[in-house]
Amino acid sequence: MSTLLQALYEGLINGTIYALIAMGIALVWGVMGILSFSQGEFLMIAMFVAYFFSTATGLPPIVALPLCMGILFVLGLLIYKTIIYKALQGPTLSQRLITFALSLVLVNGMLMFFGGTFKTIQKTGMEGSLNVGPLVIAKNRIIPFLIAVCVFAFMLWFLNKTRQGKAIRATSMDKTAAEHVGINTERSYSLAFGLSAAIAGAAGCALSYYYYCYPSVGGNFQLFGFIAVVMGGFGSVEGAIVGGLIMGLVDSLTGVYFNTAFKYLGVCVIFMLILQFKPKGLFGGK
Amino acid sequence: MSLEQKKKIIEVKNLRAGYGYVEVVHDVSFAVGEGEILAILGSNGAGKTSTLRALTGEIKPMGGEILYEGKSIVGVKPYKLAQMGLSMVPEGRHLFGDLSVQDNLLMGAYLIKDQNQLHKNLEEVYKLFPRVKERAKQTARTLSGGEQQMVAIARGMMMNPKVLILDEPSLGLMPKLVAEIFEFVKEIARMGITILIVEQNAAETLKFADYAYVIQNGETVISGTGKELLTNEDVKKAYLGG
Repeated sequence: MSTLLQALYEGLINGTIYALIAMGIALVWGVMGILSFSQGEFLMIAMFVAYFFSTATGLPPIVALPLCMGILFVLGLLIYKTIIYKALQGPTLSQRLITFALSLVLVNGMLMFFGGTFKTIQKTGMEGSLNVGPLVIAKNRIIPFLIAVCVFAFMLWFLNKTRQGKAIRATSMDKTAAEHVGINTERSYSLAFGLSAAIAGAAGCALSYYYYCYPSVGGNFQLFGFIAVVMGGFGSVEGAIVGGLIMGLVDSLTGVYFNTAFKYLGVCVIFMLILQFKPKGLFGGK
Repeated sequence: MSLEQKKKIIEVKNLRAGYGYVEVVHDVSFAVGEGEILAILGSNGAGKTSTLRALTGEIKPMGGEILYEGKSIVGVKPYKLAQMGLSMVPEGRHLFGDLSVQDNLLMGAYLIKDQNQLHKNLEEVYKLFPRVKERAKQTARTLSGGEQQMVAIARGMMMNPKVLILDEPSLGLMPKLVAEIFEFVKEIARMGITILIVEQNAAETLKFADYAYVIQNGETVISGTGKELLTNEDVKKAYLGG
């Protein structure tokens, strides 16, 4: 019983990172029909920011959260204005592949500048663990979890309650209609791309608490994030969050009850099963 | 009733427009007087929708002039035109399908920042369209075609437009509903809002249009008051079934 609880707990925590990645992918896809293969790399860049910040100042990574999100937001805007904006005027295939190319450039660019060694933040201020009932809670997972919950809450509030958020949602539902009611859809596009990069930035900062930082770290998270998006119903931000949490649970349960080596197998089997019964994903609607 | 007496709010002069290298609109000119119902008629493929698209900034004109309140609006983006008081109700309705009817209307008031004004507009629109009010909570995509068209027009009204542009509002609707939709159009015109309506249904539209232009093969060929065109032999032959 306590093994199960422990596995559920850890799955949920890991799932929040997948959910953050998935959220960004869902947002960008929903608004502009771009498949963002570079979400994992945005996460990686934020991990480097958090790493260098923490190592240089000796402060815990959470202090670098605004920095991680800010840098990634600006980077996202720049990438949108230069690369994505142009790709959107081209054929569909280039729209699909452009972020894939971008991700290769980012991974290898970072490799060139910073090398491939694994970097970990030595002092996060959250070493050790707590015993809560039957659970052993690693302290280094607490802040990442809180970061994720805050980002979910903020994004759901932003998209549903604010004027700019509503503009983004309207743009994703019907671009023509959005333009006609007076929404600058170009602005919705750039904002959505910037935000999705910033969300990955938050995920990177969170992940830096307990994971090594190296240039190709984003790959796995990107893959899991993608499956989470499809599971949740492509384009639905809420669905992406749920999909991400499911990915985390499946990941940790296969690890505990079978073998960590089977986690991809477990995740992909569940993925295919869900698509068998809900071909448009859990939140895909009709 | 002559056009010359009214201030012209929209003027299109020798417009040329199209897609890529293909010119669809070759020479279209018309003027919309303030507060009137102006109809642009023509059969499918005559260039009506392309003319509208050029007007609302969705495609770039290849030549000619488009003036709104005396100023050129060539190249102005659709959302800017909305801010300037031009409200477009696009062909095919383009509702936000997953949102409720009321949320669609609220989205239509995106440009209205004052909450009191927004509620006032909503009340007014509901008074004008009681059927829409009945459906307020329903998801937009579950409505019938006629109801969706009403919601689309109602949404277009939410921004307090100076000009309401309707692209084929009768498309795909049965005659009874067409009559109902046109009743609303007349009602809106009575409120002092200028209406530019593009239609294939010439017979019904000419009954209430103050002035109308007929587009054929990308050119404005005939124009006159609604009554004049209803009795015009060429128009009768080509568009009114003899």
